[in-house]
Amino acid sequence: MQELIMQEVTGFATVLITAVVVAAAIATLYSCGLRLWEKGAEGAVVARAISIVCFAACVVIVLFALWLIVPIFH
Amino acid sequence: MELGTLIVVGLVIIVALIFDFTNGFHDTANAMATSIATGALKPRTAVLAAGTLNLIGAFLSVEVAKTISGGLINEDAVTIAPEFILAGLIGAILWNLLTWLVGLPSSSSHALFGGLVGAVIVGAGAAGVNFGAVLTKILLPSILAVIVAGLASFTATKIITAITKRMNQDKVESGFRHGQTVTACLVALSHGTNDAQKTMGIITLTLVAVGAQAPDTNPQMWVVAVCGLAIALGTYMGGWRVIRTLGKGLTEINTPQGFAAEASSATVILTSSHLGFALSTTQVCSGSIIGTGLGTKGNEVNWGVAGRMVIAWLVTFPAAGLIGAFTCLFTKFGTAGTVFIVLAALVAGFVIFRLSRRNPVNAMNVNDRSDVKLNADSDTTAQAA
Repeated sequence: MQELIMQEVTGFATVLITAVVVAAAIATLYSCGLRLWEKGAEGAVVARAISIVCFAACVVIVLFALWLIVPIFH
Repeated sequence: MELGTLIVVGLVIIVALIFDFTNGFHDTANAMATSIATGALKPRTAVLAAGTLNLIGAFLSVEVAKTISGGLINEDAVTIAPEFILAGLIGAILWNLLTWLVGLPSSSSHALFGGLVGAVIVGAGAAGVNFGAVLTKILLPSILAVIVAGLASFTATKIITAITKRMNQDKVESGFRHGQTVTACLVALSHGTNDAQKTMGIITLTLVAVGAQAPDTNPQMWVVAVCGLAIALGTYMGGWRVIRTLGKGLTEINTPQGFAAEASSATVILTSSHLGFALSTTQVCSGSIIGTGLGTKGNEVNWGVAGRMVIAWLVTFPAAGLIGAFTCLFTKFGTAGTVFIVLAALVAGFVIFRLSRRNPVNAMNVNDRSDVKLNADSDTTAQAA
C-alpha cells in the first residue's frame, strides 16, 4: 500500500515538474521569438537570427508533441 | 445469436455512438474555447478545425483498450455484461447533457466510468468495484489536474508578460494568435486519438463478448469510421454553452493568455499521459485557464464559476453512477426493460434539449455574455437592471 502511494506521489511530482518546466520553456521561446523578431525589423540582424532559432525550436517542440500524440510512431 | 442479445448489442452500439457524439460536443470547449474567446479563430472555423482533427485523430489510433473500466472494476471477478455497458453509457450521456445545459465543463470519461460503476454495483454487487482505484484514478486527479495545469499556465503567463511588456501590444496580440491556433489544434488532435478510441473499445469489446469478433483483434473498419464520424460531428456542433463558460466565464482572456493556457494544456495532457499519471483533459484545460487568469495582473478569476466547476467534477462520478445504477435496475427486466429505459433516456435527453432552447447559446452569441442562464427572460431583466 505504502509503495503504491509512493508510486503515485512520484508520478504526480514528475508530471508537475516536467509540465511546468516545459510550459515555461515554450512560453520563453515563443515570446523571445516575437520580441527579437520585432527588433529584427529595425535592422538588427543578430536579433532576427536568434528569433528564427527560437521559432524553429518551437516547431521542433510541436513536431515532438505530434510524435507523442500519434501512437503509430512509438 | 439470440434475438434478445442482438437487440441489446444493437442498442449498445447506438447508445455508444450517441455517447461519442456528446463526448465531442462537450469537449470542443477544451481545445477551442480560448481561441474563440480571443478571436484567434472565428467560432465556425474553430469547431470545423476541431471536428476535422478529431476525425483524423480517430483514424490515427486504433489500438483496442485492454479493459473497459480502466481498472475501476475488477474485470477478472465480474464479467461486464452488455447491459452494464448500456447503463453506464446512458448515465454518462445524461450527465453530459445536464452539465452542458448549465454550461459546465466536466469529464466525459469520468461520467462513463461513474455510470459503469453504478451499473456494476446494482448488477453484480459492490465487491466488483475497486474503490481504492476510484479515489486514486478519479477523485484525486480531479484536484491535482487543476494544480498542475494551473501552475504551468501561471508560470507561462508570468514569463510571457515579463518578456513582452515593452513591446507594441497590438503586435503581441497578433503574434500570439498564431501560436494559440497551433496549440489549440494539438489539443484537438490529442482528444481525437484518445476519446474516439474509448467508444471504439466499448463497441469492439461488446462484439468480442458476444462472440461476433475474435478476442485481441483491432476494431473493424466500420467501427473506427462511425466512431470517428460521431465524435467529429459532435465536436463540430460545438457545445457552445460550455465554450462560453470556459472562454468568457472564468477570466478575461487575450491571445497571450490564450497561448499560455493552450500551450500548458497540451503540455500537461501529453506529459501526464506519457508519464503514467493520467489526468482528465477537461480538468487540465479548465485549470490552465484559471492559472492564466491568476498570472495576469489586474485580472480577476470568477471564483464562483470556478467553484461550481470543481463541484461538478467531484459530483460527475457519483451522479453518473446513480443514473447508471437506476438504468441497470430496469435492464434486469429483460429486453423489454432495456428497450424501455433507452426510450426513457431519449425522452430525458429531448427534455434537456428543449430546456436549452429557452436560452440558446450558439456560434453567433457565444462571446456576447459570460454566463449561461437557463431562462432568457431572467437575462433581459438582469440586463435592464
